[in-house]
Amino acid sequence: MQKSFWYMALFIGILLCGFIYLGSIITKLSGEKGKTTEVATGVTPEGGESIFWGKGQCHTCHSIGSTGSGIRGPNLGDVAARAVSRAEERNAAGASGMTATGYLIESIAQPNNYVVKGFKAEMPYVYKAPIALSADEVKAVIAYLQTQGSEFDIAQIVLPPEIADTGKGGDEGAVAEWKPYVEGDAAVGESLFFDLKGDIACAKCHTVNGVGAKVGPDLSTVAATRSAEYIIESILEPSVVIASGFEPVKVKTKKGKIITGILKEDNDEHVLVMNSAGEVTEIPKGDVKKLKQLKMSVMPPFGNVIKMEDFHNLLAYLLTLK
Amino acid sequence: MEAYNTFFGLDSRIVVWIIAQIHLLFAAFVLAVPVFALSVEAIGVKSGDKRMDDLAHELTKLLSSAFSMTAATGGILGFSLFCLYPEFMRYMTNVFNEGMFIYALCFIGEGFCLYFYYYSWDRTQNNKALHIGIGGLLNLFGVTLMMIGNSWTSFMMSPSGIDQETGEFVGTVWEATTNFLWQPLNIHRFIANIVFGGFIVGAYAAVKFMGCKTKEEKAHYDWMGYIGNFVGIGAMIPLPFAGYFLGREVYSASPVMGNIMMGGRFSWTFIVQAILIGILFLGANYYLWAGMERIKGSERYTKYIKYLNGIIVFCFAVWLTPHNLPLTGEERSLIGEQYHIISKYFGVMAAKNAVVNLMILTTFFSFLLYRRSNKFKTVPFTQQQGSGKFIALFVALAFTLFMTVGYGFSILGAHVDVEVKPYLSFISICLFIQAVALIGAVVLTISNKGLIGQWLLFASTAIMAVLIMGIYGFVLMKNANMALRFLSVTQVAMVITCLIMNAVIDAVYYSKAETSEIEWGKMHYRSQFALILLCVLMVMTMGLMGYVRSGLRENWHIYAVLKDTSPWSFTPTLFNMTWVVGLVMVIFFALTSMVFWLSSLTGKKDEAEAH
Repeated sequence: MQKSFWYMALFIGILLCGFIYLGSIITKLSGEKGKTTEVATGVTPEGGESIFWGKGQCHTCHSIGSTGSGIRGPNLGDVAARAVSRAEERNAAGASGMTATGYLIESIAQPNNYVVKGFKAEMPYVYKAPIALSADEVKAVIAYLQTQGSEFDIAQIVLPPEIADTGKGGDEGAVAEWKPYVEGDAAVGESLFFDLKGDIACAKCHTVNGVGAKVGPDLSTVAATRSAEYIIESILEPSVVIASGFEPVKVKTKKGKIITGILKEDNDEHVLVMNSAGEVTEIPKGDVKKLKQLKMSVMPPFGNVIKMEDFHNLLAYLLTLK
Repeated sequence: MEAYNTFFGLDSRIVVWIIAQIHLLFAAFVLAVPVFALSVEAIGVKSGDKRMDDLAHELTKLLSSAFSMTAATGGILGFSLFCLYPEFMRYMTNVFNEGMFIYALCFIGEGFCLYFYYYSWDRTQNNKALHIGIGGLLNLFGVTLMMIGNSWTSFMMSPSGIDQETGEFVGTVWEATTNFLWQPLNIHRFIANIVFGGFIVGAYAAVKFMGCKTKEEKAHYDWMGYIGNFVGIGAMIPLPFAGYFLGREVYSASPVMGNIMMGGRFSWTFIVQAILIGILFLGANYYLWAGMERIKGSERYTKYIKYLNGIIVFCFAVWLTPHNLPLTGEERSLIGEQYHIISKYFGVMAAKNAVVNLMILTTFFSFLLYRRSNKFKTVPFTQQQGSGKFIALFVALAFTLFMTVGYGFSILGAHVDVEVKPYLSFISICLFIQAVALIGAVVLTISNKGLIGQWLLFASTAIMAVLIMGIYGFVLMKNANMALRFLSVTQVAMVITCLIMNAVIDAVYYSKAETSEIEWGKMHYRSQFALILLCVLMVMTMGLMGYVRSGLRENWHIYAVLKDTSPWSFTPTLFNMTWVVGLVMVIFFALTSMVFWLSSLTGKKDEAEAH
């Protein structure tokens, strides 16, 4: 083989390493993540805030005060305070009985009805594809906007039909709403969940309505916050998405001892790690040599273990937990 | 039917990603090299330079093996899509039904023309018109194939013929093909493929050059590297504009997608792109400067290189400055605001547009210096014979005036708010001033003052398109955001007109000049690494931009129509992207080396027969 070929290969190798290093630096710098555990939402200002800066993509156009860099749309710092005068302005122009919250709702439901001077009528309908926020998610965002210059009041947020009916069909395009192809028996699923002598025995680690262990997340309202697809994936491949606060870690002590489990606490004094039996080990911070986050969940994957019938019964039960 | 399958438990998306990217690189190769080879052959016929014909033949030799590789990777890509994403492919085949058959027929047509073009080379030496005709047909098939393939990917981004209520496809194949992003993607990919082809040829020549044993071989591969680099850089100059056009149309197709691209999740990818393209410009300029070593008389210009280098490094630094540095609360309170004092100004499009245009102008200036290095005493314009120079000047003037004046008037007639109008008037005035500068440059050239004409044009473009409009961009961002899109296009129009007119003036001004010999082969090994660098960077950039283009759809197979419900419907990090693109690059270069080695076997056989 010619020497020039090897020179070239070496040179390309160096460039390649540089490229990968650049990717790692920028990923660290930007703080971006690949597949991540979604933050819990719910119809709260906090939930709305996470949607505003995440899934809703509102931040790509709007800033909030000095936070964010979106400039295509108006800055929404103090928007709730401004909404009062806007509503009055709209009422004077012929709208009937518009409130400040009503103005915020209208801005999302029909964004082109009133366009702030200096901006274009280009805001998308966020409750339609591609963003496709659900009615509750829209409510949460409005609750968050209510906190910008005022107090939030979720009772005031009454969504118009075009948003309230979101998710009842149509907006997901060609993909139909998910349905199980085998109807399970929720009652049987519940007994499988709590039967600690059985093969499944979810209650060994999970709690539902106060019953069960607390090694894994509380599942009392899992179907209210998670999709059916997410729940299925969590049963069959629990390591794909690991719930926030239940990340597995490996701790190596200075004496060479290795402890694995779920990280429950990490502060200047100690590290607390809980194993799958729920036992907590305390390791003084000074004894910790290395703490590494693991990619494999403590929960075993049930894909190759659970019988098909049991799986559907269990799923049917989990989907009732709202 | 399952919506998704896996390949031995691997992540299906990564499997498809790798195969698609390798296929795309080979497809780009077999599209670009025939364009290159045909142009070189035609120039050879016109100029009677045998070297051109040999070069075109050598390039075509590489194509025959590369074509098989393209077909094989295309087949694997098809199988993997049908096996791993059956639901999605069912939708796509329903939409593009007949179009897929046309694609297959074009592929057969391209294969036939390619092999005919290659194997008939010697037999058609006396009938070059036929050979060039076949080459033209080969390119026609190649471009058609690219456009059909592009219609599928652009449909996934901006589907047309869809019933908005039900999400069902109700249009025709033609409606689906001519979707909103089809043409912008065609233009961008076509130009990018030419750049890629040029840099691949350059890298091939560099490797060959480093292994040469005789002076003649060195001279040949040095010259080939120069031609490859020339074509690559020449096509790269309009590429940012084509990219800007595509980006703008992405925004027009879907503001949500546009915002994710420039202000959201993918904004950081453009920092990586800036780094890659910035190094690419530096590498290309370095090669030009190194190439001046082989020209007697270049000493007159080498003293300017350090200043040009300084300008490019400055532009590079501004281009890669991100707007939004992730700051901690403490850092923010220390600075006193959300943005860093430097990134606040250098991180926005107004500054970036200005430096990109300056970088292009500087590279073009480097090229002019290189071109002039072996030219000495010129013949005044009025003493030159023939009408060709007049025609060239006036065609260039008519075209550039059409661009500047035409666009100036279209801006004045744009439907915008009354408050925005005055800002647009200022932009139009700049365009009209540029038109006057263009006329002035032509008048000066005709008056035997071509060099002053060139300087006038460079100065007017740099002052208006870079300096004034760079600063004006900040004014618009603050007061009339809507006018920004007109400003960017104006900057582009000014730079392009400057490049076109100055190139024509240069050709006319030096057409009868005394020249010194270029000592082909007298190049340092270092310069050959610049050629390899350009090729590697191009592959990386193509991988990066493929990640952006595809990733913009987020969790949709077909944007806002067919949702991706697979476990892989999330955006991989940039770090993941670099690994995948790195792997693709290794596989592609390994396969390309094999292709080059296979094609060299024919050469060895020919040599053996000659002995």
